[in-house]
Amino acid sequence: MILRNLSLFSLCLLMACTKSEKETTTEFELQFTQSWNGTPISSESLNSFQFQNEAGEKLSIERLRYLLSNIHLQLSNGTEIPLKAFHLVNLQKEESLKTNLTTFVTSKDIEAVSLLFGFDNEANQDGIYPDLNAVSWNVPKMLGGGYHFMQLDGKFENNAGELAPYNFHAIRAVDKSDPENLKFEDSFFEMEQSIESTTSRIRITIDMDISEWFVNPHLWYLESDATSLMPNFEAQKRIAANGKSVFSIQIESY
Amino acid sequence: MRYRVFILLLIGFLTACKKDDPGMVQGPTPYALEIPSLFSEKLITPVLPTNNPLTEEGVALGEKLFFDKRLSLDGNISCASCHLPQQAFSDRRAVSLGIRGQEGERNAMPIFNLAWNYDDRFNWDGKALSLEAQAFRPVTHPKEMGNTWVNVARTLQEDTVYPNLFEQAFGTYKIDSVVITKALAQFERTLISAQAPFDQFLLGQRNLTPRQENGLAIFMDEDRGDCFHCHGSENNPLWTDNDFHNNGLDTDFADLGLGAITGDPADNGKFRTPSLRNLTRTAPYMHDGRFQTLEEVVNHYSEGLNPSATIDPLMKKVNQGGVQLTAQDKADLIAFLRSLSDPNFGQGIGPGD
Ligand code: HEC
Ligand code: HEC
Repeated sequence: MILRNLSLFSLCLLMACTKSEKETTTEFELQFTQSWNGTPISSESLNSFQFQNEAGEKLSIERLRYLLSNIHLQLSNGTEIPLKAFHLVNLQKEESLKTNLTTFVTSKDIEAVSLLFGFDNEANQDGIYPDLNAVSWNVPKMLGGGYHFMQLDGKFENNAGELAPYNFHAIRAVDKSDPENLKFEDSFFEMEQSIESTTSRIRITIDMDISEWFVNPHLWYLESDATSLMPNFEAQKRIAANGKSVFSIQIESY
Repeated sequence: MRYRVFILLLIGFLTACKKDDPGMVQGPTPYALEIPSLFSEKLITPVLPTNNPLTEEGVALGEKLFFDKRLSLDGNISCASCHLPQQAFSDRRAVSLGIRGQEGERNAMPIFNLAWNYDDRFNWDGKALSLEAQAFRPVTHPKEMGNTWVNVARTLQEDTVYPNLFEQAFGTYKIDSVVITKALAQFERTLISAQAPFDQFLLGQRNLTPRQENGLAIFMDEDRGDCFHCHGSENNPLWTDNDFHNNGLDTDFADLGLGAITGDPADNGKFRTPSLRNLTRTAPYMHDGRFQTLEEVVNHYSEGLNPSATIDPLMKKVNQGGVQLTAQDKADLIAFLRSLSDPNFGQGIGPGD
């Protein structure tokens, strides 16, 4: 009897190892693309003064890294399925521009995908993600700690006709006028896109239109706000507001 | 009966997965790399290639080779001639002296925590794509050890002990460049520095002085030093991003750095960010050793920046010359930088120890 149970048990174990049926999984390809006013850009577009912002300032991009988090699916039965806790995009790292994920749900049960730009406050704990520490993505403790949301660095032509650096860095907005009592305002934001698909493979393309960081609702002048934006409470709030029109999500079934 | 067979089969399966029994040939002993708690807590695991696992025998052999002058053509230069243990495995010269007293082109880099260089790009310009690959260069470099691999292999093969040591480490008596560089790389991966006063502060074992505390604040403050974007923080205790930047040393480049490797003019003048650990023993500073003191380095960032097309945008006050620190802030920043130096690192390593 015991022996029979044992063999039944090992049979179950073996079965568990075989692939589950095709229809119960959905494969996702997440793609992170970047554009400037609708024109796609790539790492090849770095370093040259080929961009002009809404305020008319000519600029180059030398580095672009940004963090997306809490990437998850919403199902028609109201539950949420996590896809990936966070993803750091680095325009100079090809492998960061795409990631493949599999879930154990059928695509017809999926209603939408949603994610955050940056970390929400619960996730944004100081120093807890080794892979983000390892690429120096941290925010100093004097600004509340945690992590950057974005680093967009480059140079622009200032009014004096010189090239001047800009560091358009996004973090959780913090008012440090009283260093003993930091005041925060949320600057992460959510984006969502509905999914209507019956195929088992779905491509989600999340595009960042970089030009949108500099307009709508706040017209941005690098001339006045180019560097030391991290400790600048007002600047962080404006960056977050402008960010809401930066991203667009496309869904393709294949 | 059927069940008995089944169970026997199962047992057979299970034991097949176990490690080789004592009757079989013993390979080298795995080396237990001691990872400092600060690193294991804050960082991802070090780069330890599966085709060159650390072993007791391999590491010991690598150490012996590192200090052996017979790797050079005239028998006068070892790796340690330019990478001295008491200098955190760098040397005191702006550019090192190689075979026949020839000056090289760059400042000898210190050697520690290199298993945490995740992109695995070594040298100032990232030309070497692993520690093993890096070790190929100095032996045959005409201005460093000036030897040929055939000659090195022959010299060591004729030695009374080396063939046995290679057999114990790599299972072969035949010595060649591959096993030599593997052993050197193994030894280098065990050189870990994480015992500086600032580490002890992070571990709750000591306090910072008020000046060190202010220095740390300047280092982390985007409005003052803003050093952390490239040189790490308490959350990245390597104190480097191991990435390539132009920190504003020159307007015209005598040495193109990364640009000479990639061929991309946008990389001209970029060099790998050095760790700020053990600075009290790695002077002079920068890829060409142009600065003798930390005061000179800090003055550079404060008011000595030189503009160029590729200067990093994080050198944000380049049009004002630099971040303009006060005399007090400069002194405090240096007090903090010194707290990242580990007074005991390098002790007990080398011949006779
Ligand atoms: C003549 C002086 C000299 C000798 C001898 C020498 N080195 Fe070096 N080493 C240097 C210099 C200079 C650099 C920087 C090279 C560059 O960037 O082009 C360097 C760089 C390195 C690095 C790169 C460290 C990093 O962070 O990227 C390692 C590792 C290293 N050497 C190991 C060795 C080993 C192993 C040997 C012996 C086989 C050796 N060196 C012999 C001068 C020397
Ligand atoms: C943009 C990135 C960046 C920033 C920001 C930065 N550094 Fe550096 N640092 C570098 C690079 C790259 C080098 C090596 C440059 C070379 O040799 O060509 C370097 C070299 C150094 C060295 C010499 C180390 C050695 O062993 O030779 C010291 C010390 C140093 N930096 C301290 C600082 C301090 C202090 C600050 C803030 C005031 C700072 N750095 C800001 C990138 C940076």
